[in-house]
Amino acid sequence: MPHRYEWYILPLVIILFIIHFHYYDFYTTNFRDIKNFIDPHAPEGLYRQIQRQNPYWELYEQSVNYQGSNNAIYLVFTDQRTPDYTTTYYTGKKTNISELVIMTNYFFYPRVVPTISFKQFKNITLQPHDLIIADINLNAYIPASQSGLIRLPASVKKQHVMVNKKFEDPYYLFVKGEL
Amino acid sequence: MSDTLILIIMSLGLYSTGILLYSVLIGPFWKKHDVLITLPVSWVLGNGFWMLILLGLAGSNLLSLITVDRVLAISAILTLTALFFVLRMMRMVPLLIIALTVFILWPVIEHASHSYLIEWDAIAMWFLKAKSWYLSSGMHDNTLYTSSRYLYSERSHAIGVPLMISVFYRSIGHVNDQIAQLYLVQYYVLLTIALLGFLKKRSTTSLSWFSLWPLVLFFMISPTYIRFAASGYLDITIALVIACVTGLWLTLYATADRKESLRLALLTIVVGATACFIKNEGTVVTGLAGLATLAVYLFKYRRLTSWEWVGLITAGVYAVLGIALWRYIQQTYGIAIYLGQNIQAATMLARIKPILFHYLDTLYNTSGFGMGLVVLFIVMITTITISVMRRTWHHLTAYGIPLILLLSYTGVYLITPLNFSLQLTSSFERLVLQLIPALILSTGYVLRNLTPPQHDLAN
Repeated sequence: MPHRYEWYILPLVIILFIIHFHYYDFYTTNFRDIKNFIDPHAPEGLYRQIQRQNPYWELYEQSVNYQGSNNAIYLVFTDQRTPDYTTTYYTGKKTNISELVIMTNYFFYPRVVPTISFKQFKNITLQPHDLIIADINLNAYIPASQSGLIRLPASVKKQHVMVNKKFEDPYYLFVKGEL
Repeated sequence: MSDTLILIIMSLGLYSTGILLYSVLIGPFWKKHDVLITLPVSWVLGNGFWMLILLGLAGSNLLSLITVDRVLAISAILTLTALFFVLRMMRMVPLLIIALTVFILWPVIEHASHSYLIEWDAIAMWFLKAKSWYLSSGMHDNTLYTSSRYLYSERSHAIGVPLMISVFYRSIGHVNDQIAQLYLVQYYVLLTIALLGFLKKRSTTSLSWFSLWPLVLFFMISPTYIRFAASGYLDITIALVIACVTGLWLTLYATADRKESLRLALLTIVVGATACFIKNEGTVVTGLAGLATLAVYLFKYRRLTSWEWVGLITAGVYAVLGIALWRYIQQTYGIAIYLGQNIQAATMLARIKPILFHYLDTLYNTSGFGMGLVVLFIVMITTITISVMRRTWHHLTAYGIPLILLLSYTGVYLITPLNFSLQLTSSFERLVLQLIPALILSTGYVLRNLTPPQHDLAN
């Protein structure tokens, strides 16, 4: 039992705990919502179901599809966003960095996906089934009939956004069509 | 076998390694075994021991020796051996406290196992490295350490946790971020348990569970802790090591028995050794654990026997081994440390003011820490003021470890060649996260020594 002098601070401690628990409860409700989208018995398996909720799910899916493939993969990175912590932190090393670069490197590892500018992209010759990851909609700049790029549609609408998570930067996936 | 079951067996192996090391250092039949302290300390010890082995395997390109059969066999043998010691530590009340704590924190544990990996720092720094170690047999064929493409992942950072995660991946046969998050969330739960255990000790507080349990949970369920517990960051990982080192060091400070003090001193140094495998700043924690322990021991006993020197030096060598091995690997494979550039003295002086103001601004970060930081700061300042007015300066020694760590972080901000203001604003919140548990323990200790003993209060 609490010591008789401990009773003096006990109400304060309990009120402080309740205030924090109120916010904690807000988070746990969100966590429950996230979990409810996952069916542990679904044939697809838990890991892929969780990845399906990832804003970069299409990128993950292509990294699985292109595993061991000889087709070229390029990341067209123009970085037209306002510079922030993620873009400027490594500028001293002249390394372009953004969430899209990080996620591409992570999912495709150990394959090194070359990062190229839009100007470089215009000068390369693509083969059928080559994959292009871009931070801009390339078809808006070069018509699809001219470039032969087929945009891969976003396969699933994301079911939830995590608490305190900003929305991901837009990204686009293209596959070079058959000649 | 499911991924989660393999994780459980391997985690039991890590706990068991720690329990065996703990039993060697403290003595298996020690009457004061407390599961609330033994469990987190053993976890830190077990992880540190295996991270050292893994670092050696990575440096000598022998990671391919790790197979699921070997991992499960070693884990099973260790668990069965440690079972005898575990059963002796079981007490009903601490077990109930653990069960209640896990019940409250269960949503965070579930979230770790059901949420995708998205925090860019966790991916760039730790999970990419874990994947690279899973796909390579050692340093010589690790693409991450040979291609300039991955320079942003700061290759000089400690690799203990990525190596440990890569062992999980090798055992389950594929990459699974959620299994890694489930491994990391254990540090968060154990940090809460460690705080409860160390604060319950008579030398730290005289509070009953009725106040202590809500008080600790009040600090640990703040939004920042929840976010960093389940998203792949390693700040809570190192916070557990800092808290254990501080808790053991304070216990050593308060222990009168010389034999017991030696055991606690050895344990503090060996527990501190784990920090250098987790993050770069962990090297300071490892060094500080050794030096602070030696300082207290020399202060208490002045002249040490030759056996005491042998024990302390052996523990010190174990602590330095991890730092030396990683430094040797870095030099062998030409991994540069990014803090190596020179910064002018005038630039450093100009940084002092914004650093101090940012530290004070952090107290207003109620969206991250809730009211925890403000409450802790008020109690800390009160204890310091009372100690100064009563001229009981020696009580303030208890703040030694967190204060020196804060000073070392300040030193890094002063000399960093990276964008100073961006690094300060983006990293200080996480450094506070690392120090809060240690500050709670230190404040508890000072407060306990400022208030009359319980038998006096009763009169």
